[in-house]
Amino acid sequence: MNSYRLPKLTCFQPKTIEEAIEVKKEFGKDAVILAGGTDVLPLLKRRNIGARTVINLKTIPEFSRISSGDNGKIKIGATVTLRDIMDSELIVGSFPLLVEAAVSVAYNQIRNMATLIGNLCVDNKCTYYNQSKFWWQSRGDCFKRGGNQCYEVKGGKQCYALAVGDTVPALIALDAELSIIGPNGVRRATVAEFYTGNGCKPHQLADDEFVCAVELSASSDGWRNGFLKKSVRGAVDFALAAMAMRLRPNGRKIEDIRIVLNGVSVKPVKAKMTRSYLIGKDINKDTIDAAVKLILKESVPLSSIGTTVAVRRKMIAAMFEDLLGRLNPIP
Amino acid sequence: MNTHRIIGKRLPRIDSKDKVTGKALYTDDMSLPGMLCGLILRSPLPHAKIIRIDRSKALNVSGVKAIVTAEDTPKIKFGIISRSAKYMDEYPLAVDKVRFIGEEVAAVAATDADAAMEALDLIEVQYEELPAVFDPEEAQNPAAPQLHDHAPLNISREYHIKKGDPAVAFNQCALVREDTFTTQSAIHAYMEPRVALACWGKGGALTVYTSTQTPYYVQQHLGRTLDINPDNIRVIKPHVGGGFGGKSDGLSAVEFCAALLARHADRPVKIVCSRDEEFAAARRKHPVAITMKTGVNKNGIIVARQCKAVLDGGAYCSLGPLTTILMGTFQTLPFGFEHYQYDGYRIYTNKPPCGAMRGHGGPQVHFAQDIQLDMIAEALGLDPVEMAMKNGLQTGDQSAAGFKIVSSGFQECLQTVSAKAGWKQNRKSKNKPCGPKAYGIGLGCGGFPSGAGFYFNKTTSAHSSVIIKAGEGGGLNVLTGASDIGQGSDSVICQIVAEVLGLPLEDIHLTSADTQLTPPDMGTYSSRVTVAAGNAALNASKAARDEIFRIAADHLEANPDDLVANDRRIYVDGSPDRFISFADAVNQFQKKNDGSPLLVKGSYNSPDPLSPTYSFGAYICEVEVDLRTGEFKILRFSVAHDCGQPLNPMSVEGQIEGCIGMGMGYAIQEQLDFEDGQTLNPSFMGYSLPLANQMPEINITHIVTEDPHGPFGAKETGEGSLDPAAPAICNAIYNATGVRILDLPVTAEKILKGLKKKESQDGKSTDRADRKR
Amino acid sequence: MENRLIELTVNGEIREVAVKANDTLLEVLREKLDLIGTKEACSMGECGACTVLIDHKPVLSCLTLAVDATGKEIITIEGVSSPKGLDAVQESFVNKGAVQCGFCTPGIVLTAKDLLSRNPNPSDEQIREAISGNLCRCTGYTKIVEAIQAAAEGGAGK
Repeated sequence: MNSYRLPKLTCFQPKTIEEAIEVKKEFGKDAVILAGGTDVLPLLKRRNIGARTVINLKTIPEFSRISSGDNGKIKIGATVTLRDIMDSELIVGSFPLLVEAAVSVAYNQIRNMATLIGNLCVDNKCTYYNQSKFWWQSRGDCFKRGGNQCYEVKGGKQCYALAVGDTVPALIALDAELSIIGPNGVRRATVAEFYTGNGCKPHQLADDEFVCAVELSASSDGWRNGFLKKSVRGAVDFALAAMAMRLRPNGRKIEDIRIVLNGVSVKPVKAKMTRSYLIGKDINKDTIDAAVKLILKESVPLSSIGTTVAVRRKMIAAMFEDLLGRLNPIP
Repeated sequence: MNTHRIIGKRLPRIDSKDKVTGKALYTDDMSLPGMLCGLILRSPLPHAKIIRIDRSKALNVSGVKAIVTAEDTPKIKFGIISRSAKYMDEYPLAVDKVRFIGEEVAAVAATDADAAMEALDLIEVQYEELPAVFDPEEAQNPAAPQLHDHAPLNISREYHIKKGDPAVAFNQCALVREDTFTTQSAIHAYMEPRVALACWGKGGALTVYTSTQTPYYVQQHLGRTLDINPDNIRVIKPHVGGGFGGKSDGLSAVEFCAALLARHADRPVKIVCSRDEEFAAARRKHPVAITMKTGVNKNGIIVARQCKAVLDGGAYCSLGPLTTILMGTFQTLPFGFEHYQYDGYRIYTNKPPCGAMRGHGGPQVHFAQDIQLDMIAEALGLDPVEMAMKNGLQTGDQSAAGFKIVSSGFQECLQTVSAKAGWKQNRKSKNKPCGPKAYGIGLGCGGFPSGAGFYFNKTTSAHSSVIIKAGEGGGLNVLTGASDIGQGSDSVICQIVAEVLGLPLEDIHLTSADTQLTPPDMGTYSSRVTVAAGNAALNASKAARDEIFRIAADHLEANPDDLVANDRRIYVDGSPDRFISFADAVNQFQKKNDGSPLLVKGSYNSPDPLSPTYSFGAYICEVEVDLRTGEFKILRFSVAHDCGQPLNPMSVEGQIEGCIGMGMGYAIQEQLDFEDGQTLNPSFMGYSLPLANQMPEINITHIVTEDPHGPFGAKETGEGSLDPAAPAICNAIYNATGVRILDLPVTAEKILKGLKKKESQDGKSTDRADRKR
Repeated sequence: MENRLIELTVNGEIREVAVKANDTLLEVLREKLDLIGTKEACSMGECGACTVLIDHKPVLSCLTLAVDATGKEIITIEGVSSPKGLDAVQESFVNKGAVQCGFCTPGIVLTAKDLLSRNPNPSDEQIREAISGNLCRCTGYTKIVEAIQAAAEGGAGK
């Protein structure tokens, strides 16, 4: 046994949703949600977070379901794993974009454990914050640890830890909606509005709340979907940039398009200006060049975790070109 | 032609069944009654005086059985190179001062990990921080902080070679190039973290199970630092999960602290390093700045070389003094030149100490050499393969640093690999941009000694020894000090014994690397085990065969010289039906000798203080680069390697493939990042080892030479195969993009920068405008 | 930090064991159930050495709480071979020279077994993808991929 041991914990294994809500209400931010565990257990082992109570959602059977409800919506529970997403005929049939994104997360074993909602709730990452307790003895705390400095962006006035969930761009592009549960019941939010842009507290989530489901509307006809992730070593590494694109072409023209990025900044980027520009346009070299400029303008990529702004910009441009080429090959 | 039964065959390793079933025991798999969990307290500061250590609060934690600091030690320094006191510059637990973040300050043993962790937090260390220096250039400034009193200007080691007169020779060259190359900090990242389990007998004998490459040195240095007779210490190496040079330092604080805690607690203690301790505080490869100047005549024959290397050594010597030498000597392989000057300087800095890592200085200088030769070939309009062919050392040659080449298949390696890789055609036809992608192909060359010819300490022991004891059933117990850390030496030794004595592999029972049972052996480093321990095994086997043949000759009324051993029988060559079984021969031997067992020994010392013999190799790498982003993919490696006679081709291929993996990681993505002496990426997510999905197709051809020194003609393969990987990749990337990377690792960012620079240059002059895109 | 008595179903056997809430499955397998074939190399879910099968899927035992593994079917490397001999994947690893230091081997064997059970004829790329979370520092993965391929060709996944 080495020093990478979990701290002393209290582990709750609620049998019902009500029980889980009750515990979360009592312990607030001192309790963390355990679903896949692949993000939260390393945070605990490195003592990045102070919580010493764990609420295991896997003991609540309804959270493990993928169900199709009325109004054609598909509901994915809090403990549905990425592997479940890949194996679900329902999802594979209706939301291949989500499957493509799920496959690009981490690796085999992690995908068998990690949940889709966990990937949405994954903490922002940075070279410095995600270090051990021993490591942090050598320097003062950063914003995310309660200090008043950022090491990632030297002299930065806020936390610049990156948003890294690979499935997030796909879910935003699909207009997915979250069910967030707390003592006052369930509230709904789009995935897009779930991210704060504050690296210290990246999610719009009160201390007594947790995400219990994500809902997808059946995808409408005529959309083509694609996802790309750039990283040093394929899926295993965090994205240097990840992009989801949905495109509804009309001949050579773009009738509608969605472009969403993650892994480039403190929160996911929905390329709204680029979308407005592209709608109704012909796909040709000039429009692509102009669109790339707009994407880069609105995504404001950062230099951190593994690469520089310069490379991120080139990657974003290349991904855009490649996805567009794939979704609407110019004859 | 190979007429052997067992040598040269693709045989499964003797330990692989235990390893695939989880039965193989590694140190962390072992436990002893009453065993305690040990943890090490490390310095959070890069340079500081230790003013006071207060352990009183920590001792109050329930379950804590011992806490040790330097005050509990005899305060004796060690260093693997103990031939010179200057190189023994390190205490296994810091005395008065710490010199890098991660240095060992105290250790605690408790009944469980939770208690040990709690206690570790409660040990109060008061430091007085000292100014620190992290850059080797700055460290040589007289005003810079001094790490050690014995080393003015922080020079840990300097080493110079001068042969002929390069300064004059350069004047007569048709082309002279001088370039500066820099390499990064890289680390072994063996899968099994360092771990030691120690226990004391009541009579004062210490037993240590440890994950080491060098049990003999651990025994010697533990004895020294604990101030007890090393013969009272038994060091046992169970299965080891890789080392690559990272477990070859003779002693680590892990072993020392486990032994010390076990003595204080009077109970067995096990210490296992966590992965961040490994990345932050274990030994690593030297980063180095190499200024290389090479002059050639108009035909591309290398005439002179001058090289200065400045090694960033970190806080202590480790094996670094030797690395400083080897960077000078290894660059004289595989090419010959008359005039040579080398000036190597290893500098102390407040960072974790650098030591040996697979290739030990070779990967850094070969990166420089092969890229510079590629540049020279281009400037002269020569084909790099043809130029290498002209310059390669041949059998009978001596390298500029004095390596005597007794067998060389280098030219054959070049011919074979360039044919197999389609070098000429692909370089011409594929090397045209295709959309955003560009193809490139590049060459890397290597040569490597098959083991050092000296111990690091003063000893009368042979470099390797093997003892063979025959059992009544005709099976053999083989005892060797050689340390299998995953490279397969146990299997190769068994193959040699089985071959010589005509026995099947299952009759050979090996005990290795237990200092109480097995004879001394230098250990696993410098690619020495196959040749040195293999020769010792060969000599012992021949001694056993002599004894057995003497008995068999009596029994068969034949001349011993006419006998052969095969299939558990001894008979006159050509008459297999009239035989004596091996077991009967053993029993007859015992009868004739009052029951005394058939016990023989064999040993080996390198006939040359540098090395007995050298391997050679030529590698061709093909890549595809995305010119938009600088991202690239390694498509294929073609390899021809001369390891003499491969004793087990499957194992040789495994070494080469592993070297390409490690060399590729080194070339394109592995890098320890530092900020003020602190490691920024102490994890497998931060430090990117190559993954299965990244590895290219690898085509290997064995170039078989008959080496006069190697057992059955075998030479090394475990390190030399690493050297050509990085330059082959860099040369291929240049071939694809026109971008030269002189600073490892090659990243998308550096390629993009190079492409941008080239674009602006191409805009100015048109002479190379048609090269790409 | 009370010890809690739980039941784990490991390699087809029900094992009763006292655990703490902060014990990982890896720690319990290795230290309380003597199943030392499962290796600890990073403790953070970054290397795959501690892979076990839970309900037939390869997962990381270093990031699994022991208390969370109750009621599930756990297979460790010790449960792959039988007293009669090696499993076909293990046999293939031995014969193809896919084992060097062996520290990553148990995790990769289990990962490969899962792959072949889902996909009896994987492509080279699919094999590499499946084991891309299992670090090996010795082999360059070449012979490991060959061994899995050979096992598939021999019908190991059928």
